[in-house]
Amino acid sequence: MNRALPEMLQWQQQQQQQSYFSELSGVFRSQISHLCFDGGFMSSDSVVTREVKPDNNGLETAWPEPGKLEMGSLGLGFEFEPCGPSYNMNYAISGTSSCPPPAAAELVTGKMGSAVGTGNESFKKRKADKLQNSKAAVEDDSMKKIKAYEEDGESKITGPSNSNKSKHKKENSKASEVQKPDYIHVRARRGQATDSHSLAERVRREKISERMKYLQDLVPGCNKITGKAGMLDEIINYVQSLQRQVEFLSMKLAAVNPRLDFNIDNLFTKVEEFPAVQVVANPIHYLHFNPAQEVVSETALRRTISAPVTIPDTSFLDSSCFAQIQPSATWDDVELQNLYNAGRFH
Amino acid sequence: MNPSSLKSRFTTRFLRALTKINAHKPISSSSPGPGEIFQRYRRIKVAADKSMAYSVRSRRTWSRATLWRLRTRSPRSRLATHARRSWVKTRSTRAASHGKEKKEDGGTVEAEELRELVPGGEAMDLCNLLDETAHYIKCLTTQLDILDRQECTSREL
Repeated sequence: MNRALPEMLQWQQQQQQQSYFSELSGVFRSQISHLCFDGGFMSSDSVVTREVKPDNNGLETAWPEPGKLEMGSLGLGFEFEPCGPSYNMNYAISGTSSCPPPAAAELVTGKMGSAVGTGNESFKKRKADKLQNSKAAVEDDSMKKIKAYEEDGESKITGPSNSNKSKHKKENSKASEVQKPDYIHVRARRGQATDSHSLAERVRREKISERMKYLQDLVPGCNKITGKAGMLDEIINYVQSLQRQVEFLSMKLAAVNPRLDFNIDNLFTKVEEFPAVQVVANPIHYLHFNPAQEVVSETALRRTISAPVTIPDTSFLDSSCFAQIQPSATWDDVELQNLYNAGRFH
Repeated sequence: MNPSSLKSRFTTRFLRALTKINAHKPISSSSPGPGEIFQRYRRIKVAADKSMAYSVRSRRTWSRATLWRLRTRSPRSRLATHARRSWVKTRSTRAASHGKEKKEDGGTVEAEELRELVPGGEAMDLCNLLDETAHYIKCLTTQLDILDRQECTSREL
């Protein structure tokens, strides 16, 4: 966290206060004594003066030059802490900057003046927001907002190369995290849009892909298929086949003579012995079956259901259950009608 | 065997329903006519769906939708079905406008199909729909498992 904070500061400094730095450098030069820094800022004088110079040049010559600004910001490295004293410092700075000292006036060109004004206001506003949110999940919140702003600034600075939506998702120098104290925090990825809509979109998309992965595990044979459309097709087919199997089996149960001797132990012990679901699901996969219209014959049913069964572990099986396995029948997408009409009734 | 698992809950309910059905209509030893079988089939299927939905109660949208559907199957409750259809329409339009900000043609076509398959899926956005689908698949496989075993034991006795 200690490491993160100065980084955070660097970015923060860099993006919203580019204009600000001009004033800041001036401020530091003239009013170093007024600023009270927290621990972590060693020799203010030397550091500031040393770093301010390149800053100066950079600012004077080319306004949107990120490199030099970064250097400057890297050098300064305050330790902002998101509680009392640092806020005071910020306000102190903003207070001093609002009335530009004569030293700063040298640096600031006419253009910059207006930019500085807006930068200051936005900075103040943001700090005010920060204070308000300090009670609720301070660090996370500030991280989120700051990162959001930082990405914004980054995208502005580095121009066309970082067009917001074209950046590839895998490229994350700052990987997106989801922390959950009160609400979902999402860190914007590098070079991606940071307005609330796209953030929400991204969260939603990640949720959806997470669920698709889970469904991939549930639906057998989906590992090879990538892509949402194909996966959805598979899922749809699987659900349809499952529903048809239910109808099929209930038809079977209706046809079979009812046994009132329900042996629950019998039903449950088989659970541990072999995965029956596999057995049931595979042979009747993609079955075209319309039970409402067919005349059901018990033997035909038995044959169709038991034909292409592949049983993984036959040693535990109750033999009578699968006594009629006939491996000769291969299972294609054959209409059940064909089976009925093929005259295989005994 | 977990006594309060989905499987055990479903099994007990389903078996109870089955015994009721069998007691109600004792099947003749001679091969029954197709109509009779069909009737029994309908009853058994309803019993299976109902017991599954009851095992899940109202925790899932699909179970609620199934129970609702089962309850209002009779034609005299036309009012209820009309009310439900209008409710579904409003929810689905709201979900649709909320859910797809971009036009994903391929995605939404399949999503519509999935919505039709999963009961109660009409008025859900894709995210929740996938959730429901996962749970629905799990329950369907459980149901199939029990039905299969039941059929086996019935046959061998």
